[in-house]
Amino acid sequence: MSTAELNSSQRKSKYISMYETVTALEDQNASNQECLDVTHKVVKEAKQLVQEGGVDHRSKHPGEGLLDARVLHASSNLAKMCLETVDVNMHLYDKNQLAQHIKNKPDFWDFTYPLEVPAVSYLYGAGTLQVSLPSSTRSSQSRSRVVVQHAQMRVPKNVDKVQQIENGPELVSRVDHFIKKQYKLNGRRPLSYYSVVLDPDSFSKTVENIYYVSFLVHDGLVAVELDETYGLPFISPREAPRDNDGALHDNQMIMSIDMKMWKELIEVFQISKPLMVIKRL
Amino acid sequence: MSRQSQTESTRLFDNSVRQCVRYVFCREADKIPIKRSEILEQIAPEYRKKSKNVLVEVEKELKRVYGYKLVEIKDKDKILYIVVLDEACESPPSRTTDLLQKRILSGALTHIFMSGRPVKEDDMWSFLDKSGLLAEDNISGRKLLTQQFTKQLYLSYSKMGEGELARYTFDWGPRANHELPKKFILQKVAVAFGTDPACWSEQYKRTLQ
Repeated sequence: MSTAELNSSQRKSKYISMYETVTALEDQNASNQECLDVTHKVVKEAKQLVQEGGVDHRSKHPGEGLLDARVLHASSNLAKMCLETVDVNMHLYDKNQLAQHIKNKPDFWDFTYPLEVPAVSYLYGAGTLQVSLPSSTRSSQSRSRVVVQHAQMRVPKNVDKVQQIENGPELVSRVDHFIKKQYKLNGRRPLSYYSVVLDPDSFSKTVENIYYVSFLVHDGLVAVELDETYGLPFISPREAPRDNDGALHDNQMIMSIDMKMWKELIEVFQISKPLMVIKRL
Repeated sequence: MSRQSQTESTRLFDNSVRQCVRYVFCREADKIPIKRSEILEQIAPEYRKKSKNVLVEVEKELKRVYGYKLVEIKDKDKILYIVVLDEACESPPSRTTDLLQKRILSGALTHIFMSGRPVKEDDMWSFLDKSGLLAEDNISGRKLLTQQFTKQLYLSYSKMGEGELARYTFDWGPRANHELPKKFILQKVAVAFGTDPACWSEQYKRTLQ
């Protein structure tokens, strides 16, 4: 009880300062938030002061009660002022309203973002850059390295052998030329078939040579004779027959060769280097 | 000899810059951030130590030729890069963009912005369902937001709170912040509802931040 009496003048001064604070704010152009904060604080403090004193104290010090009433009155005025300044037009976000709009007018919500890099898909193939993207399906634990290769434009140096089927006729004629030339060099004597076709370095080239020579034989550009002594084939060039019909159609040279035979032949004929060197593609 | 080696080193430098620019340009497409280390791999070994110099030139080149801006995003201890435009412009729509996906993203971002705070995922699913963008029972479709958009840094999907009260929330990711000005979104909303952007005072304040 004595503490309450000692504090009476202090309490009164507290009330007075609160009152002054609140009224000052009314005059100032403080923001709504600031006003409300102050009001909140002041009301709380006033409540506390009242609670400190008992009923007896309050009846003894009616002055405090008056001050308390004044403070509360000023605070409520301030709060009222705040409410009035709130913009009447202020909109509150209604998510359902937005959702409805998107549902009804989806096209309105299709837009590119102002600072978004637009997709220039038409350019992607033009780059001389191959990038493999880090796979999103891989687990995050596996290290995914992005491999970048600078693919340069290169003229193929080696054409696939498959294409030689198209260039067959050209090669056949090359073989034909070679045989003619060789025949002359050989003193116009028939050439040993095996010496011509065999290539000790390449079985496949040997097979190709046999293939081309067989065409020439079929077309009648090359004549084949079997040697009397050993039965070995000899070839010699001949003029192309004018008459396309005739017995020449039956002229075929069917040869079969495998690697074993090829090796044996090379050994027997002691062929160290190929005789027919023609330009293949 | 020294002059020759100087032009040779300049050539290496220029090549490194060019290679990095090409790399960034190609990688940019899927909007997944590029790791700094991935760009550095494009630099010739001789210049790896001077990567900063190379990157400065790369940024200049991207800006000069394409109008791109290389933005650095710090992710824990890594440095990531995203590519945005240097200046705002109204880009034409692209045939290769998935329109529905883009719409879902735009709807999500708008909802988050207008709400003024990160949106709880249940709220988001219900909103997208009401908008006709993503059916509420389409659980696998949700990966678009929780995984793809998150990876692309358009959205952030994070846990708020602890224990039983923990909820996942969606908020704008760094890419959205860079690519989409808040004012632009508010303007869109204002037009949609036939109001003035200033009417949305709370949201308007946010555009000024």
